[in-house]
Amino acid sequence: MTARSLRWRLLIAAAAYISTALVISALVLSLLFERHVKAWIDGELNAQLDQLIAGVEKITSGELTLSRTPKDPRFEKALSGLYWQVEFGAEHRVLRSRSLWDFKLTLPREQQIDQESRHHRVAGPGGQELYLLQKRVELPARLGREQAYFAVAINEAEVQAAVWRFANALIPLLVTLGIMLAAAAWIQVSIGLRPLASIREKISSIKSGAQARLGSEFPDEVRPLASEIDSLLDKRDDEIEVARTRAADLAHGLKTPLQIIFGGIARLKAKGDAELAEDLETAARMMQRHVDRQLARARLQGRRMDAVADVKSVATQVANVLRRSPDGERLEWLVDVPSGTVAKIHTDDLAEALGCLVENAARYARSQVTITAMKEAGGITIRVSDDGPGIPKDKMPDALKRGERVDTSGPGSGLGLAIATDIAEAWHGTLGFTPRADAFAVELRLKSAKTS
Amino acid sequence: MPHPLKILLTLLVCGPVLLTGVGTAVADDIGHEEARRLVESGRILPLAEIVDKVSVEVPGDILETELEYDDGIIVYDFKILRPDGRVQEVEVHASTGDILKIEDDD
Repeated sequence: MTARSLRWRLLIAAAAYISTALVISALVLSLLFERHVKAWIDGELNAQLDQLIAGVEKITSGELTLSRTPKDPRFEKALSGLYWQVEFGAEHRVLRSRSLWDFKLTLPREQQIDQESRHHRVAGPGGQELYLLQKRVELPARLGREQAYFAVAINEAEVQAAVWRFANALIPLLVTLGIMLAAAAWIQVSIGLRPLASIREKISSIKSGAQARLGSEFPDEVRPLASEIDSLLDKRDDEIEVARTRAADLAHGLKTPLQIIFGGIARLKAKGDAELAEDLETAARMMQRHVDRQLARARLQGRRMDAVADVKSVATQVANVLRRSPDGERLEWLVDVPSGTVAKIHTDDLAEALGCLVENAARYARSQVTITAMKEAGGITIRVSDDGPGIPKDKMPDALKRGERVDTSGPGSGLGLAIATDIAEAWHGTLGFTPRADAFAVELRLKSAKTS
Repeated sequence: MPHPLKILLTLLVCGPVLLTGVGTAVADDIGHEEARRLVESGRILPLAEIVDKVSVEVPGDILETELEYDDGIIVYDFKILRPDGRVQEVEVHASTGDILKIEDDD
């Protein structure tokens, strides 16, 4: 998978939006929690403020004091982080919780006297930053209608620590959620991209000939692509068909003129111009082979690729035909093919290919031509061997090229092995040589048919 | 209002300790209002400073803080719960912040 992979792009996008979503939810949840904690703390501090306000009494000396103070033990413990402070009158006489110890809060001044409690941030003892709630009220007539500030404060760091603990507790949850979402994204991407993989599979099976077209069994989004590919294939097939037909027509069209040329050559010979006749005959034979090959090819390309051929019967037929030829009559023929050897090839094509090979063998053999076949892993090897001189090793690659003649002395156009190679390749087979000390062999390897 | 009662309770609870005290003179507790005046007059250090100093030498949670006159000097008396679970009493010179005595509660 590369940077250009669709899967990667989708997964990277998914990773980006999942992590963004999770980071945002972590922040929002922490913020909500902080608000919740502050609201709860506000409730507590308000209750304590009310208790302070209700506890104001006048003692006999006329001074104001608190008859009762909030009961939270943290108000008693020095520097505990929870404090109260009360200030009376214009001269701000101060009463403080024991927890403030030697520290006095500087209460912010309020503009109005009302029932509202107001939030402030003030400095506390030991560098603490305090979250402070205060009210400015007027005391009842019995207490001299004095104005008073009542303040309760808590160490801000405790609130922040609670939020921080909450955020930390969130992390494993969010990580788990992230993993689950990532897995879901991966599954989604895999399912979403599956049609593309199936198109690739089908295209490769079209290539191998197992299937003709992609078909229409795809999701709506992919079907137009598949049908475009199918119509492209249709168009290409039509074009190939036209070209093939033209080539076949051309070959057919040349057949009659060739016969006329051969007739002319015969007349030339009769007139005694043997040298010119021989030159023309060589050229005409070459043309004949090209025409034959083109016709063979045209036939080959029209084949359905599910044909099978019984090797034994084809080999026997070919041997029988060539045994009666001028070259064949002087030779000993041996066909050794196990019955039930079935190759993936059309019978006519196998006959043609074998014909080419056996014809060559018969031409060069001294006394014997042998056709054997054996089954190997997934394939069938048909060997045509003769006891002739064979082809020199350095000429072997040339021998398979079309029109190349290793032996330029005798008749022939040099197309026999090329035709056999064409046929072998059309059926996903190969053609090769196996030189031996006492014999020369050509091997035709074909795919084995499953049914046998 | 609860002052007389508080003194009585203090005497009841602390009385035996004071009587069997380890050679220390009878202590006079100083309240937080007086502590503020002492800090303002510069006779003792602010508690926050002392706590900073003490927590370096004796780390742990300070459970209780008391200020008292002890043989003519002003002394902070801390009960500290140490991380290993021991509760220790620590006496600190309130004017200098020097630790005078560290003493296990056992």
